[in-house]
Amino acid sequence: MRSTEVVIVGSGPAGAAAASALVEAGTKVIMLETGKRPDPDRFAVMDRAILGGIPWVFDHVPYEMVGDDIDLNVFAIRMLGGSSLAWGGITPRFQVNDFRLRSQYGIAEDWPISYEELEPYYGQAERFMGVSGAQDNPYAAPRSEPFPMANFPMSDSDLLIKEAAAKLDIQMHAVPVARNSTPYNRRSACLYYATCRACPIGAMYGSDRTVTELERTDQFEVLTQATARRVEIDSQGRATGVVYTDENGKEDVVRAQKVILAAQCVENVRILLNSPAKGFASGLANNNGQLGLRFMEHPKFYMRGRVKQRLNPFRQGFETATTYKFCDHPKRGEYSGGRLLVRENAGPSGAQLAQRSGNWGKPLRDEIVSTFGHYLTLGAFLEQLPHDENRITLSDRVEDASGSRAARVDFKLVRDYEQRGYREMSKVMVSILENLGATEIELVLGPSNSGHYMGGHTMGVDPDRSVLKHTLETHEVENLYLLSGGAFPTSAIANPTLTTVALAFRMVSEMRAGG
Amino acid sequence: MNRGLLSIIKQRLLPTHDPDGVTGSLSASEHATIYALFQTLTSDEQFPAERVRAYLDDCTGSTPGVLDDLKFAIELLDRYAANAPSGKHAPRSRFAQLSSAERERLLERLLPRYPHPLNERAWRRRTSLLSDNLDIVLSRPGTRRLRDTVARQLLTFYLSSPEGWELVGYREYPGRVRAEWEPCEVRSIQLDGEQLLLELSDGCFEPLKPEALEPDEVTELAVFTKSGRQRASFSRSAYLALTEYLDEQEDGWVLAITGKTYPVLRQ
Repeated sequence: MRSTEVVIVGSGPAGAAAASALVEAGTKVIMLETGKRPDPDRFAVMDRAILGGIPWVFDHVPYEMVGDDIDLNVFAIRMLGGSSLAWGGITPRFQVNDFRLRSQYGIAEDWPISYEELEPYYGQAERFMGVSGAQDNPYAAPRSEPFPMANFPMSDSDLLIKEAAAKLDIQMHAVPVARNSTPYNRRSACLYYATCRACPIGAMYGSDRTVTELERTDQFEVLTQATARRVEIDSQGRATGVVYTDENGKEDVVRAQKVILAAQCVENVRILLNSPAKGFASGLANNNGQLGLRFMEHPKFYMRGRVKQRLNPFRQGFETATTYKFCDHPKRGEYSGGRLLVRENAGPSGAQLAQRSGNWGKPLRDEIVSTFGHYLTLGAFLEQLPHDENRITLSDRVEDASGSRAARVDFKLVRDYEQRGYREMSKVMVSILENLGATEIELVLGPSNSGHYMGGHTMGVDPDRSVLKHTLETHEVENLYLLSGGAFPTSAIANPTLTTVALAFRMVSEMRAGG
Repeated sequence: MNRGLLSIIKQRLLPTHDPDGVTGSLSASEHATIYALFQTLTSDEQFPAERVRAYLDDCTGSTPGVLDDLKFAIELLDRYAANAPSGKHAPRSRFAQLSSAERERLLERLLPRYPHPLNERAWRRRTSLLSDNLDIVLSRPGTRRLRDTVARQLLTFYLSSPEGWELVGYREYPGRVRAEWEPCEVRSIQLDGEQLLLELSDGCFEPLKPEALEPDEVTELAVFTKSGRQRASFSRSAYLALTEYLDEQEDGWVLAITGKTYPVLRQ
């Protein structure tokens, strides 16, 4: 048995940010990570990615899907660093109205906190991860500090789209990314290896690095291959620690004054539902029956067109142009907004062409030369409304390796609200592509999940309708905190990691204020 | 809409290696056959055979089923070569012994050419409904296996290499950047926990690996950075900072960092 002040489950950006803030405040922290340490030779990882393989090898976790699959074993990487090992690094802030959908548009729920309350923590999160960006977004919420680094320049595809969009009164602007445009915080500047989800030089933020740095302090310890099984509480109903199994399957416990689950929302919910405790017949912190409800994603889709110009795609692996124009619109109560973006790699590469072409030899070489670089792809993330029917429960059919019940996720990605938003955003995309003279305009990816997992343990002011207080402590179990996109009452349209990290800093600040 | 029946069917129709297949390696003569196939498919006679061999050895040693597929392809190609009408070559040739033109003629029988669906409107519509793989419709099972699991893998390897990217005018991509072609210098050295952190002139930071140091005739010391991809010299100030951590002992030099020593400069 080990004892500490705070135990954190999960080493992704949220858990790492919380650990960092706690250690800085002098708190002793033990972190449990179910996966192994990542391969230190990031160039070997990149080489695997170049050939189209999965760059990281991790133990998959079984789960039961009913409805649309959320691809947990693709997006939720079980390894030290979690999803930050292979994320896009896109870190936009939410907009002001994203926190008040109910009061502004009469739908869904308001957050228990406002943008203004979270704003200083957004700045802290940007400094912590190292975000490059520009204040050129006319639709952005107010900021109290500049971006830590200047933005990356737009690609030639971006500039073509930007010009065409401007004629339609659509202003494209820079995308904030947790990638270094200059050396920052003793991390490399991006050199454009262009294999960005497997950045070999650490220019992309990865929380494994934060954890490694924290390990050099006396206050912090991380246990890898330590899988959290359940949360324990005392007779007063307060969280007292986490039971886990080590790499040999041996059960042990970390006792702590505070417990933070930061293992992504599906796993957070599963751990609590698998935590039997006196007084909690339906799972820990679930006497109100709200745990697991209102799981959300960001439906995304792509549309492509062919252009006469030869462009230079695949020079960088992350997006650099977007617009918030359609995120918060007057009819948001009727249909989803969308964040329009320019895909970084449009059209097929030579290798991708060869996968579907029947040509080989010189005809294939000719085909590649005449086809490559003549495509533009626009994409959009849509806002998905919270629905009680999109829920995480425990499976009756599937178990994990230790015999615990796996998660069951009942999920429908697109309902009428999102479908109407999809149609509206499709029209915008077609008009932009037509405006720049593109032909063969077609949908290349219909609404699909994006790996942005949100909801399931939402925060709110009403303890009968939410799981967490605004501090991310559960309404029902004292000293138990749930930290992930699962806390979001609504999904907005911005990629969730920055907001999750900002919430982590706010959570620690509230913890310290509350003693 | 998401992950509908259509996408599941299309996924099932995509080619895969047999997950229960064996692992191992090809013999020298088998490699020669595959290399001859590679040259014909890529229309590149100059690509080094040893790089193809290293790649294939890695695949066949780690991914079940790849070896089976390659052996199948070799058997098929050699059988066709043996039965091919002999020109100047003696009958019963092996595929690797054929001339470039003969290999091309043979492959045209096995792998009929067709354009990418992007370049063929009618097929694009059909493949969007049926499968990403037109060989389901166009090829016989034996030759389909040759194309799907061997030819496409070889082409992907080639087109993902620097030589493949040069085809579209990219010398640096992927995983290679212009900075790696240029001289690099260690600008500063900082103690970072129990390691030394190098700040490089291209804006990169990375921990110093003691085994990556090597003597240099001009600057006395150099270091291989980025997993050995880039050799960097030391600026004067960085060199002086490093010498603070270098000790000469009886059996050579060591790097001494926070009480631990690491042998260096032993070639």
